[in-house]
Amino acid sequence: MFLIVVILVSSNYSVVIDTIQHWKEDRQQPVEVPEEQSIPVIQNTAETQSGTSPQPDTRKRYRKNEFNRIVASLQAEASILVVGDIGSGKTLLATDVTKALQDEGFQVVLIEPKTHKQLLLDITSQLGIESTDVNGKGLSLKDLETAIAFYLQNNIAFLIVDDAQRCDVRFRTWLKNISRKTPMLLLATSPPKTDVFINLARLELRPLPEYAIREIMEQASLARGSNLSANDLARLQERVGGNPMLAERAVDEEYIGVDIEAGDHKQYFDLTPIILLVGVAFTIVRFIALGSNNPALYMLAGSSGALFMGVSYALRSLPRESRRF
Amino acid sequence: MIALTHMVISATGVSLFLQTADYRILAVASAASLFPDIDTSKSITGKLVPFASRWFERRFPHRSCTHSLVASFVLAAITYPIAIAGYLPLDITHAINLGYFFGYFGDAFTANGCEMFWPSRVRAVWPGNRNFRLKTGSQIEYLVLAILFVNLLFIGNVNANGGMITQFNKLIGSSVGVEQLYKQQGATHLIIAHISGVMSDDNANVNEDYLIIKVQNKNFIVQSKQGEIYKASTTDPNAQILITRIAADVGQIATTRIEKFKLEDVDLGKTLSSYDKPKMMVYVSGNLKVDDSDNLNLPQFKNEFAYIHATGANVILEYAPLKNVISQIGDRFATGYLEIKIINNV
Repeated sequence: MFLIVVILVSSNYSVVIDTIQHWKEDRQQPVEVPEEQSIPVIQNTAETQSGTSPQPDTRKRYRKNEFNRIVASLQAEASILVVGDIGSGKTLLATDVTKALQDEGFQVVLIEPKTHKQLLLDITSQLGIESTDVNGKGLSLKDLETAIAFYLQNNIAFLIVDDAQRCDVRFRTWLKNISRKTPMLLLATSPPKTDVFINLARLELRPLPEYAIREIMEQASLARGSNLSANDLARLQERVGGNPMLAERAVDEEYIGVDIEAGDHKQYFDLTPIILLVGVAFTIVRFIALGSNNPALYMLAGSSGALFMGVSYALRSLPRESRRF
Repeated sequence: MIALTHMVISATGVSLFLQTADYRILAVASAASLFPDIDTSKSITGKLVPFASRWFERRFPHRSCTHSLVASFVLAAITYPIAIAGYLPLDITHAINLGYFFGYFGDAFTANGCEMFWPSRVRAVWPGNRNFRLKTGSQIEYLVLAILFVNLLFIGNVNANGGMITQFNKLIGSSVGVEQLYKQQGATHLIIAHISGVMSDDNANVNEDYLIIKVQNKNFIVQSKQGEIYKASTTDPNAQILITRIAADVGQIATTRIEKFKLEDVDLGKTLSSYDKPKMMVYVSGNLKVDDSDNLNLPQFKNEFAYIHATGANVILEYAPLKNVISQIGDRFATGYLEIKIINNV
């Protein structure tokens, strides 16, 4: 018997806390308690990274709220989908969550995209399920699916799938089928609004705050011995857009002397629609000039309106930026 | 974007918005355009105020909070109260604020754009494809700078000649535009009309410059270089010049004032001669009763505006040149009302 304090993530992110007495056997109704009590305390200290990397994790964790929310959701048997750009820190979050749950004694399966069968074999391997029959012959896909589902129905284990958008549709459909009874964490970049992705509560990873990005860049700079000045970092930070991976990459690019000015983040806003609005404003002025019998203003506003609309159209007609390097 | 490009963009934008070619205003706008770059210690303004620039660059990415509408709002909140209190001319205040805005707006053309909507971290760019945006210090930027500089000269020239609306009025040759220009500038400047049309009596072509004395609806009382007075109109069949096209330019500085007074049997020549001064163009209107009206010998106007005519003892004057009035009826005593329009060509 043990007590677990959890957060249930609702659509508007309100927090509900469940008090559960040995929730493997006897799940009780949630009881609301203040939020402060619900958040597991996560220190900003160096932590040992779990998963495949044997290196100790000296990173400072900047996504504490997301981490706490995910852990609490999974402990409350609520599956969750984490959506974020490439490099936004999903994999790090996945390994942190895995470690936190393992430290609490839970069985956790952390998988990355492979073929459907490889994924199922990976899961059986991590859960310790036999993947062969009594004759030593490998189980079929259907049998593997059934065996895993049966195991998960009778045991508590968390399923964490990184880059879930790259898993094939059949695997995602199977995930959808077991998602009601198996708490899972899917992490994806721009997932389609279908199958398992539309079924799960969604948590979006926002860009990291500027101070966090600056700290990451300073650490990266120190690690490479480049000791960039505040001026250099401010200039490089322009092309980072709150993305920790891009922050490190910008420092790397500066370190090796690559002359790059534009960033690869998605925090750009094209002003072209505003130019169209200016054209519309001039068109309105043209009608005012017509009403007030002011031919010069009519002509000026009309020609300016046409100019701005034309420029707007021309800009929209420009070739789109390639998504490939 | 290099500092010079910022300065030229701001000067062009401010010249366009404020319709001015005043070099002081454009210089202030150019200087203000450099202030958004206070967030980097390597910029001109950053070097001027190193403490501020280091503070910014330790905390923010380049082209973030100082390149935003919030910064513009803060600047306006500081400068406009000072202007309203009378410590800063309003046009200079406009130049500071617009110059600052254009200073960071220009950065939207660069590869990384600027955080125009800070605290939102989206970077405003134009156009969307980065391959078409400017790279700082590139040859393309210098080409754009050259084009902008030509634009600045053109817009400055337009503004020095009355502004965009005036130039459009000249282009379309509309009487409404000339009327507007006369209302706006006529009190302080000579307004020179370029009239194309025909003489109403013999259909002779007209294509000359005239000084506008008075505008009445779409009719213009104008004076030729030879001193002849005409009524020019697009619609009035009694006008001497039928206008097909009219445009106007703002001429030399000239103050206009009107004096009205009543005459009670006074020597008209003696009264009017006090207005006969060099550099003064004086036009007399009114209704007078003169003595010895039987011997009046007024000119007969065939192709000109009848600025003076008589009905019995009553002489009616309508924008009659002062010298003509003195020579034609100046030797008489008169009673009545006069309105004198004095254009003092300083």
